[in-house]
Amino acid sequence: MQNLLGILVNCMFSIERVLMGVIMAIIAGIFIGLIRSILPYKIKSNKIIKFLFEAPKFPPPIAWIPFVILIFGIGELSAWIIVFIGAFSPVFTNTYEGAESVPLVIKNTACSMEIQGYKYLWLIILPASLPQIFTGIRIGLSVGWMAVIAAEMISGQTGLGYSIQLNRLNLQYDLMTLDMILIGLIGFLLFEGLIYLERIILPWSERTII
Amino acid sequence: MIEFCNLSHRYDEKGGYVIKDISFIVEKGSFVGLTGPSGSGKSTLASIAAGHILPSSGKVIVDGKNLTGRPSKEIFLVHQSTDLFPWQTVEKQILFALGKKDFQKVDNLIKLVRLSGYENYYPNQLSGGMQKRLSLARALAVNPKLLILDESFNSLDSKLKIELFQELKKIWGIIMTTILLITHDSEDLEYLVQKEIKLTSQKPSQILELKKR
Repeated sequence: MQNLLGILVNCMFSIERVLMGVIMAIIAGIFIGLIRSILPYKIKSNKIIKFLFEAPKFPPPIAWIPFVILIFGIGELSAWIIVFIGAFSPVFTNTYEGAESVPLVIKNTACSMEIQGYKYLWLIILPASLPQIFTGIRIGLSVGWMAVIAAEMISGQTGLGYSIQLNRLNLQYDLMTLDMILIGLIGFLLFEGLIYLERIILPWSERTII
Repeated sequence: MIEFCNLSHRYDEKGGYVIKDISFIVEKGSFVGLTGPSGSGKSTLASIAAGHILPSSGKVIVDGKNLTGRPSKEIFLVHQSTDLFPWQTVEKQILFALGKKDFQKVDNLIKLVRLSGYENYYPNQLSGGMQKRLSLARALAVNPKLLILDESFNSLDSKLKIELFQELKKIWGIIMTTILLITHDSEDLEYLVQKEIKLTSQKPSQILELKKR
């Protein structure tokens, strides 16, 4: 019974961390992605600006763990930030790509309706980019889930990643296997939940997910 | 009155002109046709008129106001391909174009284009003909001084196209918006327009003839 409660608590900690990090990544990724898309072409195509936007996404989230612990210490905030680092890039990149690939006829029609400024971003570019933004969120959630488990394995006091390490040290291979199954199951359920949410938010999207 | 004054355009500084020195006037409330073979610069002219392209030279003047290169509600272009917002329902597309919550007007426009009962449908749930009718209703909601239909019905089969042209004429008879209908087939304009502007096939395109019907 105590074991079961412990497993449940660890699951809840891991889920809470991944959701917090991913939500932060969604907000920041969409905002910065949209802002980048409306920059003048001269600035957008500048190599230094491009480098500043693109380079930080190449180090994997695990490589950031020592830096994050050094700056924020061991705790919830560090876990959120590690998930954020993993989830941000896919959301940001897909938002930017989605905004850039909005058909010209839609942009022109909006201009003819005199939709400008923040309204143009909020009412035209954002909804038009949503299917691709959701692709980014799906990838971000998967990366974030992997990142939080890795972070817990290295520096956690709770969570499924920490539980795997603890069970390995205690030679409790049955519980270690259970942790692995739970990581797979929860990851799958989070992914399915997101697809369900996408169907509710984007009933007009032509994309069919099997 | 909408004046197109000496419009010339080339997409590349080193390239040749697509259209050269095109001038004509569209009177208020008239129904004008613009024809010409494929590649004669009809769509370029439509984009220039709507302010989406800045011409290499020339002006677009609406009631004395120079609107060259400035997209506005004064001249609204319905494109060849679908330009509907996929995330908005039929009702919301028209409400959005209206810019105010005038549900009576939305209802009237939906009735006018015979889309009653489809208010909550998304564009991808409508047939090609219905999508074109919705584009038309949305354009009418904007209430432009000139409505340009750039081969808007050409992707449809000929029977549906004729049906929509007849509907368009009926709608024009009711609301009397100034319409510039662009098509590559001069026959489409039979009994439909009051004036036909024909572009030449050679490059750069120029006005071949101006026919009054």
